[in-house]
Amino acid sequence: MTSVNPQKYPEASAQALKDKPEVRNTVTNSTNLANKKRTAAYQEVDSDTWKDWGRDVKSHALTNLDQYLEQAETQLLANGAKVHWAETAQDAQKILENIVLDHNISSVVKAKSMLSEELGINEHLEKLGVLVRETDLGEYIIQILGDRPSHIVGPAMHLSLEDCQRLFHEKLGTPLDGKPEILAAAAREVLREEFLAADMGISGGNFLVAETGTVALIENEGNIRLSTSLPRVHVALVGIEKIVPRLEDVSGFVQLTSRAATGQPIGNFFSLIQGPKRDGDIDGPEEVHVILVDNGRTRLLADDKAWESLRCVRCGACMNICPVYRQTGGHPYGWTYPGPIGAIIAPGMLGLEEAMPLPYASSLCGACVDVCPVRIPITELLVHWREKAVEEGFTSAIESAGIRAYTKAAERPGIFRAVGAMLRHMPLDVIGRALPILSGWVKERSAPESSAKSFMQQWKEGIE
Amino acid sequence: MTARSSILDRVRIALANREVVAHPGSFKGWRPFIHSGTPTEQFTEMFEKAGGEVVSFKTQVEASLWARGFLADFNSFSVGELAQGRLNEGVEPDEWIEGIDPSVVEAGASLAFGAVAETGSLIMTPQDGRRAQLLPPVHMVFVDQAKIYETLSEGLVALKNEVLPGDNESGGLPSAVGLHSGPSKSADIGQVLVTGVHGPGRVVTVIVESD
Repeated sequence: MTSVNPQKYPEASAQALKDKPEVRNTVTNSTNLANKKRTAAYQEVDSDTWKDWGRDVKSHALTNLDQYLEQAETQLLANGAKVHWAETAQDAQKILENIVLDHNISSVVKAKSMLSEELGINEHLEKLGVLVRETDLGEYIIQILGDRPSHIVGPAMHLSLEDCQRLFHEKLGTPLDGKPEILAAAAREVLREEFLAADMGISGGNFLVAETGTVALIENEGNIRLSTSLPRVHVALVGIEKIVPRLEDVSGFVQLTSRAATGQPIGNFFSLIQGPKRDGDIDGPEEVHVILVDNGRTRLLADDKAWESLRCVRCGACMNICPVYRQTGGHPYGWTYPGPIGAIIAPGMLGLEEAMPLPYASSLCGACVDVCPVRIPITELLVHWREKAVEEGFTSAIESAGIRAYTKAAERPGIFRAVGAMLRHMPLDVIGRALPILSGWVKERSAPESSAKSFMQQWKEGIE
Repeated sequence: MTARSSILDRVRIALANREVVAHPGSFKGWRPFIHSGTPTEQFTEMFEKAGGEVVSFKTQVEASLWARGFLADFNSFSVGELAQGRLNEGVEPDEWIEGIDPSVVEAGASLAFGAVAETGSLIMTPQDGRRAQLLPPVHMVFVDQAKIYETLSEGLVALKNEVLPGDNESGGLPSAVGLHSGPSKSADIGQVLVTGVHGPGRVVTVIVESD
């Protein structure tokens, strides 16, 4: 999806809960399962040491990013790959368009890539008249449904088996009660033809190894290996933050990420792509293009605190554990990257005003911090963006006025006691109506009876 | 000003006053409970847990005999160039294994560069052709026990240092490497696990203990 509208988050999430209440159950079940698997997988290893290591390698790479990007470029060129740099989504689209025209490309098979969602690649290719096919089963479901991914690892996580059965019945003619194996076999058959016919494969990149010029990709279906092996041209879209310094580093990161994402020791297929087919190779693409994408990443890197969020390996663990994400899935967030990680990278990449209510789409419970495999201080960064929002005047005037009024009252003991006494003797719904900031809150809630005496009075009289 | 220099400039400006973090050194696996068995036993356990199958033979001749029987049960199969050499070990070279398009066969056979105990992975290089490794619904892979590495790092570094004929004659990694750690699978349909989605749904590793 290309339209970015996180501003609508409050309305969109309320609407989603109203229109599709079943999504909450489906997402809760799916994320609970993912949480269970991740927990078990991390219990098998010394997870604290793993996370420290992951944090430090990524921070090392990010604090030397210019050198490693240059090294990766040099290596890729030496491997025979072509390297492009894209500052914006439009740049990336244009680069891809040129490759499409140069090679007379009419059909593309795509491996799941969140970056391609972020850049609006499918829409752009379709405008050019290119047939674009998503081949990850989850992305395929999303594509034939005309929907958007709801989760960065399981794009169709918000759809139940029944949803899929209905969809496949309509589109592929499978029985309405067809078992998942039947549906998968039907998709395999359709997609196999498209794999064999495609001119170009497009992938993302989980990691880019500077030392060897390697694009590394984790998956379970084999569709990434097929997309990067069969068509004559392979284009990899890689965010500049995906750099890791050494080949040995990916051996750690593939395990760290796989365990965090799906609870596996390693994804069943792990591709390490250096460049195009060589003279002795029987098959493989004739050309490999790597597009290094900024699109807001250097802007995020410039933030003294939030740059740490660029360590993200996109495992999705933070959304799986998030009690807020669980209610609606990813759609209401209005951006490619939903959940806690999206809420902290959006303000840096899109600009705070554009991303605005997302830093508030959290209860700050900190569960995401506990599960992050690269120790991104997510709650600290949520608060960081909230502070900035206040500084830059993006919060509501009523809220600011309320906080200012509270500050004044709290600094003056006489007024503080008087207001306290007043509030104590007034029913909550009356207070709510009097204070617009509370009206929405009291509409749905009742409060216990206030104590007859204030804490200060009880203190003086001696609390038992 | 090119996009490249603009991006690199912005990176440098962003990093101008940032403290550089040191690289913590190699990933060491750090498991509280080290697997008590040999690398081969650990590989077998991991690979089977991921849904793969493992058979083991003392010699290549025994392995080849078994593999020929295994493949003969399919109506059609495709065998990579390196795997052909292995299949023909100890018997008169056959003609039946050449030139079949992997996209139309029921089974494929290849030779792995090596395997990894830590993750239960086969290290596949392009020499046998990637299509034979990916398109047939069943994939049979030979691997030498001597090349089952304890860790993924060791396996990758060994591959990087190996000179492979016809590919990276100057050393370094081949054009593309695939780690196969079990059958193709997906849980995208209603969170129910299915196998054989795009790649092989059945993967059989044939370990050759010695040659």
